[in-house]
Amino acid sequence: MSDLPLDLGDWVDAASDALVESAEALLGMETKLAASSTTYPTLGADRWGVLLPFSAEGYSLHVGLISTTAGCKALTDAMLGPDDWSEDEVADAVGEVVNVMAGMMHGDLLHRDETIDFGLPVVMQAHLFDGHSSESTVLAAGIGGIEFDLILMMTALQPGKVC
Amino acid sequence: MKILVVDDSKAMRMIVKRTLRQAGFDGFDVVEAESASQALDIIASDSIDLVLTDWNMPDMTGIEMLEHLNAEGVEIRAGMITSRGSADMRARAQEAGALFFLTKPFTAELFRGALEPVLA
Repeated sequence: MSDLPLDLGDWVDAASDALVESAEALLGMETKLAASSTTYPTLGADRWGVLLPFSAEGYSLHVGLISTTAGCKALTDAMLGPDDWSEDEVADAVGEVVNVMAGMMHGDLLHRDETIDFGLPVVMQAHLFDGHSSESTVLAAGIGGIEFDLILMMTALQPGKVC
Repeated sequence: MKILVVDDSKAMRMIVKRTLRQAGFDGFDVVEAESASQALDIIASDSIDLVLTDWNMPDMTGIEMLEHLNAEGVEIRAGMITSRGSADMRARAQEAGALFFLTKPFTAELFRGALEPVLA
């Protein structure tokens, strides 16, 4: 993926800045980011999150936030006020943080690659596939003390390959 | 005066309503739609003074909704509230008659500045 206008590091920088700014604006919370020992986060019964797809010429990229159910609920409480939020409402709130982040990342990087576009956030509960053509980075994100994984996965598109 | 907030995210609709209150528009009647098609039904059956719509929604986007209203000859005041804000999108929104274009995250001050001239 070396001949692409943006590499994964550029996306990680943009996502980090966007998470700090969106958490401040939406939640009034300070975010601290640190390197993680893993490149793929663990998902399971009590560990899930929201991913949002970007597309660009030659590659796709997913950005997401993953935490425990309690972590996602705490973020929703901070965003909308404490309440008995349903699972769908919690997913919606976390998804909106990722959506706002994506808008900031898009605005930050579009001048370097005008083919960038992005879609809608989706809930992620299944295993994340470590594909041969993917690069990924995980950062440990403390959003007002709530622990999340900030994940970015970049996949080169291979023309003609269906799966 | 009635404001219609259109966004597929319930969380964002709640934040928009809260920001409207913080911006001093707490005297307005606010109704919600979770999709563009639901918003079109409300606009057809209710007296709406201002539409605040998201851009990126499944099925029909906010800008497609505004363009549909234009094609149908429906005159209604509207503004976009969206997470993306490229020059092309701003131009398309303006062409569709959007009176303002706010990007998320927004503040009460931005809301006041955008809405006051429209609702005055």
